[in-house]
Amino acid sequence: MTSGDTHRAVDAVWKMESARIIAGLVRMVGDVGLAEELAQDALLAALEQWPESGTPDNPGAWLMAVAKRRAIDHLRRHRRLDVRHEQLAHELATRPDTAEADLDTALDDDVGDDVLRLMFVSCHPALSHDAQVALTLRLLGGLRTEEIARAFLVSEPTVAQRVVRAKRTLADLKVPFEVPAGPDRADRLSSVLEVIYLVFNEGYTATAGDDWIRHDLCHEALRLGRLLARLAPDEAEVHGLVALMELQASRSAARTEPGGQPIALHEQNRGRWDLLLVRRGFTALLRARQAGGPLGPYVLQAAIAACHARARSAEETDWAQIAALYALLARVLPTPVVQLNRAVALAMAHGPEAGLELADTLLAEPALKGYHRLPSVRGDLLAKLGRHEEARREFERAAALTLNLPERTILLDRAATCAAAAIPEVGGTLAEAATAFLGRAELDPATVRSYGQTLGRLRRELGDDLPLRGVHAARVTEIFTSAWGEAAAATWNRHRGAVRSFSAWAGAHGLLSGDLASGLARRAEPRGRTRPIEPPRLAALWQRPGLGLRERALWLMLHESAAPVGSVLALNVEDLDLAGRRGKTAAGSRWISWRSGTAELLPGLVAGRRRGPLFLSDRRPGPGRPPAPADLCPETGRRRLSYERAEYLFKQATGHTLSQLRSR
Amino acid sequence: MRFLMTTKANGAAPPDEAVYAEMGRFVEEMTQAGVLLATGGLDPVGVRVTATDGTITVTDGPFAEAKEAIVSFALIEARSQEEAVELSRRFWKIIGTGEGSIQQVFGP
Repeated sequence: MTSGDTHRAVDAVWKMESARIIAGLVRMVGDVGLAEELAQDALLAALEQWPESGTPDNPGAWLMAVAKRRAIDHLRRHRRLDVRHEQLAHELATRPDTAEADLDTALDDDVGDDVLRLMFVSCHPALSHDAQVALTLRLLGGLRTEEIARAFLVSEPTVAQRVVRAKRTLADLKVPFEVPAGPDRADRLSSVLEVIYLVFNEGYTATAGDDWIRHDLCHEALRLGRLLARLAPDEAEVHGLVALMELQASRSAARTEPGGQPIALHEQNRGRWDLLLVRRGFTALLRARQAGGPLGPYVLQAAIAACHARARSAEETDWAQIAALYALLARVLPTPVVQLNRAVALAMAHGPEAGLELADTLLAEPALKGYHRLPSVRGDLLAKLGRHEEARREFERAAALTLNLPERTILLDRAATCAAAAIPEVGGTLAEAATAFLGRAELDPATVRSYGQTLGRLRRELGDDLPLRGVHAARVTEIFTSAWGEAAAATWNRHRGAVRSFSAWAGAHGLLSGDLASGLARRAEPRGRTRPIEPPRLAALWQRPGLGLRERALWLMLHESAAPVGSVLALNVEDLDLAGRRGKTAAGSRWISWRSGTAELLPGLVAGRRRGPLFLSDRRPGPGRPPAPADLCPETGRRRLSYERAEYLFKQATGHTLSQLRSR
Repeated sequence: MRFLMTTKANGAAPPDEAVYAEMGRFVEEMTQAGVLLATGGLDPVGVRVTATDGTITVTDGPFAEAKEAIVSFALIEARSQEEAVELSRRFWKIIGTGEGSIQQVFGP
């Protein structure tokens, strides 16, 4: 075992045992700061001794015994031994062989209570949230200062200072080492729960920081919650918090895209929810109910999470139940955010009007000013009610408020969808619908011109004032037959495409039911006439970064020369007339000519070769399949690029075939 | 991190009641702490399924020597491999004699 291995082993034992050790020491010496120092001494001793002596059989007990010995030494030095400690020191001195295990038992009768006391102390309300979190992770989670700093994206000295100050505050206030009783208890407990949930949420929702560490924070919070549930089993809210965290953690694998973009609950792949954690969540919720008492905020939030976990698909979600739970939650936790969530649940359960009514009451809420979810929820509800223009404004407002980039993109997309949907509110005649359809921003001018011809013909034949619902597919078929029945198949298909697009658009906006092109069959276009790639696509292709020289030269040559693919691939270096921008075909009877684009690239492609195929494959041929001598480059040993391979590469890159590169 | 701990049949006599009771306490404590996610005993005989280029062969066991068969498993959640090792130490301390392995589980 190397010393690095031992260090990690010591660290692992430390994380498992530190809470028990420190808690026991605080009871002995009465001061959190001193207890931690003594515990650190024990840890140092382990780091020094274990690499040589090997890890002891019961490492936890070893650490505990050393720590206690240090504590007793300290108390002796400071002459503060009371009877109890005297007794302990005596036991330790007289029973050296069995001391470790027995003393453990002697001291550990109520070690669980000590850990619980330690939790209450480190989450003391006199400390700031930052200090509570840092102290709790350090004392109860055994995390090193450096680990806490990394998890919260702050510097190590900052964390160290928070811990030191927190310890001093606790000493100054003489905070007793006890589990509070009476009316104080509920308040102090809610402070502990808050700290644990804060740690969990830092791990669960933070938008920055290392994923792995954040996962660890969630796990640490869960561990603390489960520990607390074991120590305080009669508190319903503790089980509620554990249930809430288990259920939320069960979704962690499903809640983000591989790139980190969040996935909304209703769109998550429920197959990726962790059923082991779901089951633990349900068990914890059951314990909460068994513990009884009034329903607190954590139990209610867990019950809501459980409703989601129970639904095998988003559609099966029991929204009525969730809305009812939110109504109860709003009573014990009357915050605007809870009301907003309740509005969402109400909308899902009883329709968008119900949700919007509640959401509208929150507009004056100062706490929600600047909170992007209010406009985003309102936008969603307005869109569902068909109030697209208002919805668009809300989505745009939400997008401006959120700091999360992926979320902003989603919101702007929704705003654009609303903007598109808002146009047809102008009316329902054929002319109005056609104008709105052609007026969409996403259409390019060529499409507008082409669709415009088709729709123009329909308007002339049917009349501008005809309501769109009065247009029937049979009538459209008649018009088509008389206008383009004799035209080329491609022309017929182009007009047919325009009508299909128009009627899909009108259908999506509720202006039309049924397909106006249903009587129009697609006509077979004669083969052999390939449609060239449109100029804008070609321009984009030449601009594409990372394109290989061979590909760029071959594609440009095919485009500029309009020569058959086979003869271009058959070109040999010795047949090129670079200055004349042309090359002799293999048959030797014809010339292939190109223009400046290709001419610029060819010297680089030839790269000093004097003969052999111009376009070469990437690899040398295998020994089993020697190519014909004419297809082998004598200088590089590579074979001529085959038609199949060239075609495959182009198809992969563009989705088109090489022959479509030919200009008309 | 999740780890799968497995134990092999060791041919030793079945544990006595005291060991059972102690193991019961250990399992309960680990479950409550959220460390132990799932556990169970396995039939050492089993059925073997082999697939070769889509051809599937099913054979009834036993296959290896009895002491090589895996007879129990525990799925645990730990913060590090060292913690998993330490937990397994505690487990084997109760059992006394035997053999097993610890493997990290990737996913879900």
